[in-house]
Amino acid sequence: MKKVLALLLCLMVSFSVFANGASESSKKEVKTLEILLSDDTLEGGAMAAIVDKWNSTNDNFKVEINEIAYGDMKTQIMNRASVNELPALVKTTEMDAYADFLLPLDDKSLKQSDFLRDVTRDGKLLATPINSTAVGMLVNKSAFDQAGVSYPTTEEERWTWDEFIEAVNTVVEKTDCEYGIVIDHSAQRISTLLYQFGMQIFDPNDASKIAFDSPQTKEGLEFLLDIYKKDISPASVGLGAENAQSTYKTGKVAVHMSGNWVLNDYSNNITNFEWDPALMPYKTDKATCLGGNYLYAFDGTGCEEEAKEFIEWFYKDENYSLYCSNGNYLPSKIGVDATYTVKGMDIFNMELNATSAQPSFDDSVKNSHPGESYGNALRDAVDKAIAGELDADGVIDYFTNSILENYTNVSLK
Amino acid sequence: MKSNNKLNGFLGILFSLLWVFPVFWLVVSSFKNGTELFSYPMTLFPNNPSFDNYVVALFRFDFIRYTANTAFITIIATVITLIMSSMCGFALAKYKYIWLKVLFICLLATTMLPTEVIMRPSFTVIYKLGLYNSLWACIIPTVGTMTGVFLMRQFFTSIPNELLEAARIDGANEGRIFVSLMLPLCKSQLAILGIFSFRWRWNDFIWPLISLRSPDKYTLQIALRTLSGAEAVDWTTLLAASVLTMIPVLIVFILFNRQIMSTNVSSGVKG
Repeated sequence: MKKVLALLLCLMVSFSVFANGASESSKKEVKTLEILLSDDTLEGGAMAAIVDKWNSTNDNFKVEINEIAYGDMKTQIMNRASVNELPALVKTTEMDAYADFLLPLDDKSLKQSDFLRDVTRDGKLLATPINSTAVGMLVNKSAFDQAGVSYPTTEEERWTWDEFIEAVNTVVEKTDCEYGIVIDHSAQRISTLLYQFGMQIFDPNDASKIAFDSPQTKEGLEFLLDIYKKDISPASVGLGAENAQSTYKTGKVAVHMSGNWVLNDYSNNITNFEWDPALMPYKTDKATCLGGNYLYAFDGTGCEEEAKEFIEWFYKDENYSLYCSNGNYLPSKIGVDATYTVKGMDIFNMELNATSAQPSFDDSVKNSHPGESYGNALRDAVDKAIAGELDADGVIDYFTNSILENYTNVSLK
Repeated sequence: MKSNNKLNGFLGILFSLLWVFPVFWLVVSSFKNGTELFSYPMTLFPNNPSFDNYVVALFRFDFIRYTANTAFITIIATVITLIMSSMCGFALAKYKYIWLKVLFICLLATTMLPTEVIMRPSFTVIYKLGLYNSLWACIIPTVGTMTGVFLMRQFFTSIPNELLEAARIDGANEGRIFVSLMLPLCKSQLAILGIFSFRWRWNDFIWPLISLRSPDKYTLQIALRTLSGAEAVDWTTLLAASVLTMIPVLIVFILFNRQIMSTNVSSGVKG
C-alpha cells in the first residue's frame, strides 16, 4: 500500500515538473486581450461564450478570460496596478475606486444615453454597465399553494406590506414553513424595503441634504425590526449569522427577499419544492434597488484600442443580447431584449419599470462623492437594532452620523 | 492505574471523533446533490450518492493544471525548506560562536512579525527579481521558516557533541558529518517538518493570490475561491473539489507518519 502511495507521489512530482515545463515553453504570437472578471462560470459562462464567439470570428487579436474570486478582485487589481500589469478589461461591481485609471470610451459609438445606469464621471464615459440586477422576492410556491394563498405577479395584485405579513403568517400557520421571510444580510435589501415606505437618503431637491431622518424612514425601520421581534424572520439571518439563501433552500421559509442573481442557482439546486418570483410589496412607493457589474478598460495597458474595439463589438445588440440570455442578466443597454432559460425574469423587469426614482437618485449622489463612502453603515445599524442595542431612532442617528462623518459638503435637511 | 488508562483512552477516542467528524461530514456531503445539501431536517448520509459533483469539479476548471502547479510549489518548497532548516538548525545548535547566538535571537525575533506585515516588502523584492507571475514567487518567500529552523535546532542540541568529535577524529569534514551522520539521525524531525511544510504550501493562498496573475499558473486554492461568488456559492462543486485537494496531504501523512516514531540518537556513541 505504501509503495503504491510512494509511486503516486513520484508520479505527481514528475507530472508537475513536466506540466510546468510545458507551460513555460508555450509562446503567444497573437496579441491577447485579457478580461479580468469573477463569477462568470457560476452565472452560466456568458462571458466565456461571448469570448469564444469573438475568437472564432476575429483574427486581429484574441481575447481571454481570467476568472478569479469576487472577493479577490480588489486585491488583484491593486496588486497588478502596483507592478504596472493591469488587465486590459475588467468586469466587476466597483468602478468609482478606479475612476482615475479608466480609459474614456467617448470616442467610440457608445453613449451614456444608451444605458440604464450612470457610468459617466466628470463628463466622460468611463465604463459600461454590463448587466443590471434588481432586488426582488422569491416565494415558496409549494407552501403558498398548500396554504391556498395567492401571490402577486401583476401590478394590480401587488401586496401592501400589511397584506404581505398577513399572507406569510397564513402560510406559516398552514404549512411546514417556520418563517415568513428571510432577507439577505445586505444594506441594499434593507434600503429597498425602506424605499417602499418612502425613505429618502438624500433630498431629491438638494443632493447636499441628508433626508434620512423622516417619519417615513422611522415607520419603515420599525416595521422591519418588528419582523424580527415577532419571529416572522429569524434574527440569525437578519444579523448575517445564517445565510438567507441557504435557509430559503431548506423549504422552511415562505419568502426570500433577494434578487434576480439567485435564479440560476435556484433553478439548478432547488428541486424539493416549487418556487416562483413575485412582485414586492409597497407601503407608499414601489421600489427596487438597481445593481450590477461594469465593464471597463484600464488606461496604460498597451491594449487600449483593442479594448475599445472589443467593448464596441460586445455592445452590438446581437452580441449583448446573447450575453444577457446566456447569463440570465437583465440588460443594461436600452432597447435590448434577451431570451431567458430561467423563469421569472419578467417579474424583475416589472420591478425595474415600476420603481420610484429615489434609489437611482441616491446612487447618483453616492457616485458624485468619489473616494468617500459610508460603507455598510445602514446594515451595521440595523444589526445593532436587531440585537436590541438600538431602536429605530438610534438607527437613524447612527446612519446619518456615518454619512456626515464620511461625506464632505453634506448636511442634515 | 488501569482505570486511568481506560479513561484516557476513552477521552482520546472521543476527541478524535469530534476532530474527525467535520471532515467526515464534508466527505459524505460531497456526494449529495444541491437539493439534498440544504434539506431540512439535515441528513448525514446522502440518499442518492453520486459522483456528479466530482465530475463537475474535475472539468469545471483546469483541475489537472492547478494540481500540477500546486504540487510543483509544494514539493520544491518542502525540499528547500527541509535542506535550509536542517542546515541552519545544525549550525545554530553545534557551533559555538557569539555571532551565531546573536543571529539566532534575530531570527527568533522575526517570528514576532506576522507574515502580512512583511508581505509588501517581500513582494517588492520578488517583483524586482523578475519573479512576479512565476511559481517561484510562491516558493522563495516561504522556504525560510523559523519554525523549521527551531525544530531542527532543538533536535540537534540533544545530540551528544561526542558523536561529532568522534567523526572529526575519524577524519570527516563538517559537510560529511552533516550529511552522513546528522541527517540520518533526524529523520523523524525531517518527516514532521516535511508534513508541516507540505500542508502549509499545499494550502497556501496569500502568496499565490498576490504573486500570480495568469490563469495557467493558478493553484488549487485560488481556483477553489472562484466557487464562492459575490451572491452565491457553488456548494456541491466546492465540497467535491475540497475533498480532492485533501487527498495529496493525506497521502503524504500516511507515507511519513511512521518516521516520527523511529529514532535512536545514542546508537553511534560508545560509552
